[in-house]
Amino acid sequence: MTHEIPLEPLLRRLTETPPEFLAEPKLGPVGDVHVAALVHDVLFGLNVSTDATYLATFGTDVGATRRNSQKLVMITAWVLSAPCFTALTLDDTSVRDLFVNVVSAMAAQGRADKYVYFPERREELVRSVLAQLGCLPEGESAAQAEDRLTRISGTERMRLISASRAAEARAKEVREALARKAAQESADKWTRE
Amino acid sequence: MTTAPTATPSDADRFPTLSAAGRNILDHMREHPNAPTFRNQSGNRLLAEDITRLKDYDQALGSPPKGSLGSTWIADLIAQCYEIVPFYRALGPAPDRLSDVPPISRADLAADIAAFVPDTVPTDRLINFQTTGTTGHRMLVPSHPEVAGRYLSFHKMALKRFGIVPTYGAGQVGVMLLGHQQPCFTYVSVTPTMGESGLVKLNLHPAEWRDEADRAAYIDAMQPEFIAGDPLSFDVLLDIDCQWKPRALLSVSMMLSDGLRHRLEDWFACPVLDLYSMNEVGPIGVFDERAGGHVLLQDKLWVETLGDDLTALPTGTRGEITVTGGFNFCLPLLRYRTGDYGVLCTNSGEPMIADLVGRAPVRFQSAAGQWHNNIDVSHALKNLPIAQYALHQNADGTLDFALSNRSGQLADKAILALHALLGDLPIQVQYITSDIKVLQYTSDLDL
Repeated sequence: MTHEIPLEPLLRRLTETPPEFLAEPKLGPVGDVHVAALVHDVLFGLNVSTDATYLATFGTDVGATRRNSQKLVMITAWVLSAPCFTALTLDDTSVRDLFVNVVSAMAAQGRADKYVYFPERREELVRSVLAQLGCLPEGESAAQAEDRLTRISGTERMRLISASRAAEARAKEVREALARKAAQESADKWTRE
Repeated sequence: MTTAPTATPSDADRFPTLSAAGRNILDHMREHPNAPTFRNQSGNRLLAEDITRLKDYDQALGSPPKGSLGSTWIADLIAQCYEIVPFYRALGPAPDRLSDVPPISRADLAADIAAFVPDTVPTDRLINFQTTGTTGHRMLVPSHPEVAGRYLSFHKMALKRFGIVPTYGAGQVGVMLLGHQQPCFTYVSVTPTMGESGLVKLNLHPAEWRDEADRAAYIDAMQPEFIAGDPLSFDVLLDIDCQWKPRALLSVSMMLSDGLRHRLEDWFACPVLDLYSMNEVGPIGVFDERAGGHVLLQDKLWVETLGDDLTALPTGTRGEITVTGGFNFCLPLLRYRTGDYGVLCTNSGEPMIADLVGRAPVRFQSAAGQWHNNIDVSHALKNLPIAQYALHQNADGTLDFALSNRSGQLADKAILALHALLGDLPIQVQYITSDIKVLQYTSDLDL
């Protein structure tokens, strides 16, 4: 059975994300929030099984480059803590994949806090969560929900694909410039180190 | 206007503003009867507008850092890096405090150096400096002719500390760079911001000269105002009977022992500056015996020391030297761990690094079972003029002591000094025949 969830309360919940869920994730010596513990608590509250291997995905030693993804995990954890979810019986795998695959993909698209502060991104996050959990926004058919999600994330996705291509082209240009003979023979400075 | 890169650079690319006087000094250095084989070509690549900016930069530079290094420029730099540098942008929103920026290391740069070049840097004039460090892994450090030109400002600042103001100009050789290695990048160039005075990079290895005696004859003929090199090349310089007395020697790239520094000062009767410098950020500090450490040179290079947990240590505590900022606009760095260790402190309000040692601390166990830090070993050997050495402790406690083969006559004194510190441990002496940097201190015991 597909659950229908009202969209508005979840969107409002996102706008009211407490500062604790926007704090710095602990990565190495930096940050405060132990994201693995947070994920564990949320999954426990939803009666979703987990194990140490899965939780290690959100550990403090995953590297600084995962900072943005960890932040979005925290924000998503806040959304999933909404009472409307705790009353449901959710598919374990779908919930676990939400934190790993869906959140990672969205974090790669932009700064985590945009999913809190920008209306379209808020809607994208909430709709993505509902779609991953097999739920529908209240009053929408499956086709309508899918269409709406595609539209709001599609615009952003195209922009990001374009930006990603530009970034890769730029990186290639820099690498080629550094490899040029002209770049290599320019060692004209007083000292070598 | 910028020049379009060409596959094979010409002299016009290397010396865009070369005058007849500049051409003459190039010919003088290249065609002197005692000149060596110059293996490479290089140039300043500075355009007229670059030279104007460099002169302005030099004028505006002012004094070395004083007192607290904290400043608002760091907040601006963080915000800018998170906006225009791909690596930092991917980390998400810019943190408000430097302490919240994750420290990075050479491994991060080596993984993809292009991700550290700001979007705003045009690629048509990028140059690179190759660095191998002690790991032997080659890395290309992105730079720019103007960045290379800025080195001079900091070398002048270091020289000023010793009461020396460079005076070289047109028709003179200002700087001679020495190497002693095979292969070695050698070339002649001119410095436009110093009247197109000559700059020559030599390899003192005998194979590069028609006659070994040409080495001293060439240096005496060129009469460079300053000679820069490393402990290995300076060690050779002491042996070739060169009569010319430069106004100062500048040592870079390796640890310079007090013993070798004093020998050089005695022979050349001039100050010997030990510069702590890295390709990634340029000159960081200059050793001043009176201050008791390497006094910092750059006013926009924040230096902190980090502990094993990668958090900043209080002043006066030994830790990994970590830098933020620098004058290389092609590679703005935030909390870059240098891999070198020292104690950040102040002397009469001047920030400096005391007890600078490359690489992580290593402990050695004495025959009596006591542990000694590698700093103790450095102090024990500091008065011996050894160009380069390395100490390794084996799992059974025995020691392998390696020193440059040219310093072989000092092996017995070194063993005495090591026995005085570490007791009667067996020491096997080896010789360093390679000319790359070596890991100075290693141990199978202190893991």
